[in-house]
Amino acid sequence: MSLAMLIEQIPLVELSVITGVVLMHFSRKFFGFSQSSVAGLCFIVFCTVLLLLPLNSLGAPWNLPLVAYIRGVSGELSIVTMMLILFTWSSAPAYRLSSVTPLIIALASILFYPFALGLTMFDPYSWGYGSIIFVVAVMMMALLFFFTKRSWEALMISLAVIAWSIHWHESTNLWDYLLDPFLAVWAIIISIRWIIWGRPEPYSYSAWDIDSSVLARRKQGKIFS
Amino acid sequence: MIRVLAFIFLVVALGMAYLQVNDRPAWADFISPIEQPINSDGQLIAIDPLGAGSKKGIAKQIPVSLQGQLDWLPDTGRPSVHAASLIPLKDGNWRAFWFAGSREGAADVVIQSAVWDASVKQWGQGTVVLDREGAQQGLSRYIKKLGNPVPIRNINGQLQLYFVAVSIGGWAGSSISMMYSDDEGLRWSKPQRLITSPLLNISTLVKGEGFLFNDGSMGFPVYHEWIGKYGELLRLDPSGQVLDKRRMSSGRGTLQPIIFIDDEKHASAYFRQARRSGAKQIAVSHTADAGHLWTVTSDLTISNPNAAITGIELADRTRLMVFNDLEHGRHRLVLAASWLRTNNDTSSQAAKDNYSPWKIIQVLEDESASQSNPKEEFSYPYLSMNKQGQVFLVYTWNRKRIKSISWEPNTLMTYLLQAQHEMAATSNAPIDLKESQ
Repeated sequence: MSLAMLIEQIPLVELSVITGVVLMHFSRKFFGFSQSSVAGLCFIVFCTVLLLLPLNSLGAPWNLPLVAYIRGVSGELSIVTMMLILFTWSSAPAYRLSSVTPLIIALASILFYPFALGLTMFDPYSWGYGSIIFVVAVMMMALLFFFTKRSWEALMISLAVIAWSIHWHESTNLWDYLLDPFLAVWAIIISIRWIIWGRPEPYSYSAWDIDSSVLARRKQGKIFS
Repeated sequence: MIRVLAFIFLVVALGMAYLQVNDRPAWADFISPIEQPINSDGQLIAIDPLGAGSKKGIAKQIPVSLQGQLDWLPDTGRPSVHAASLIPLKDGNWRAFWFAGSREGAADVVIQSAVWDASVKQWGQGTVVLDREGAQQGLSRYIKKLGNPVPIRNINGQLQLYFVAVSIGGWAGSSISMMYSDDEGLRWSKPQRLITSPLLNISTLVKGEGFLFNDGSMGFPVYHEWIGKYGELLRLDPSGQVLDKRRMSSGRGTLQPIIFIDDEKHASAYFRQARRSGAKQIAVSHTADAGHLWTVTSDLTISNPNAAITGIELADRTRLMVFNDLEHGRHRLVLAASWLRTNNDTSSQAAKDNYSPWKIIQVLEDESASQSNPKEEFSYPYLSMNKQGQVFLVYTWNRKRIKSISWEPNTLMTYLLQAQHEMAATSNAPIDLKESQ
């Protein structure tokens, strides 16, 4: 297998790992799967391999690895979504988001999508192809997060901008590295929830709480949900 | 720790963002068309389209009808065909593309191609350029069906094929992918996907012919079809990467734009109308800054039954357009022309108005009297022209075959001059008339 062929597999591997992490969370939530890190890691590796296997050569009626079907629907996720799934959702309090972050994402999404999808002649999506004003605004936001001690948000935005500048995904549009419909839906739901019912405390367990880390649950003796 | 990492990546991101924005090419102008008047023998002459010289030339040999060579693209045994397009090859031949399968949108639809051999003046055998399986392997994702193919030649002479692929849903779930060929279409690269929409990259489709900007980048009129129905202009680098995108219309009533370039800054876009209510006419947008911003203006007074249109500009800047001049149905297909005005008003404000009204110069198909239900369908026309001035038209004939008509430069030019004079004779101010709107 040549290097070029390996590089072509990167988006599929990336999506497989993310899908594995998402499945692990659902397994823990709905099926009481072990909260142990080792078990979680094994689960993710198992899912990744299963999703990437060339099943047709093993006799399955599908022509593509399973992850290719997921990719057909989801495309490539934004860097911010991936960071949230990989770290904030599953790990330590260091990755705890600012309460205002989902609200910013939700508001941006509500304003962005209707116009980006043709409501008027105004098209904010076209800014993402390299509008200097838009890039400066995004970097200003990262700086603002950084100087208000919200390092995790600043780091996520920085990684998204770096990924865009090296053309990590298929898209050449910065918006696709910052935002995707899954992130928008999540941000809107969590914002409504936090506004109405308040944000859960950092170390309390809640199925909706993105900060429910393994560590936190263990401290509280809630290893199994 | 996170803070240190954030600081490091923030600095790197600032640097890389600067480089990325700095490397981005500025918006370029159109390549301004240069008028190359042609006499009745198809030869280049001095600018004198209505002068005595050309009149004398016409008087010698006025054709009564436009004689073109009719032909059919090869039948490959697939019952449903649609969305043909074509491009001149470097050796004087032509290569056509279309999609074929058991029905439109079926999983067995393939993109086919055939070459028109100029020496024997007929189409060769059909070949499969891409099937669903090939698209899936190349794009590393599930593909449900394939759609419209449109070729273009980039600034380096490389043949590129842009085509529609759908992973989810109907045509509204479309995205555009591209593959290229370095041997004039015999072998093709793996496809790559263009990301042109923020919502799971749905739904952008291609139908109209692309063009080159003066910096070598390419412009492609595309359209969005999910919820909103509107036209967009993609600007692509020579390798097919999206550099920018501009909205040409908005709302829910315009599809499948084609572009006529007036000069380096001005252009008109004509659309297939897809309105739920309102005038069933060809919709229009204009730009005065090389496609950066577009303004929707009043329609052409040409009926459009929510059907694709096509157009080209000849070397003498006469414009040709093929469309169904009906409000309902696609059972009549006509060829129309619009001529450049002879006065030398080149002020920028008048650029879009420098053309005569469109005049139907030939009825290509007409089954208005047909009793069949549904009536015949002649649709998805696509016009193209080579450097010698030969014009080729391909269109869907009843979804069963693709029909082609080619016009030799001499025949076409002679007929167009005759039609222009006829219009001048029957109109009060024929050539100075502004575009009918």
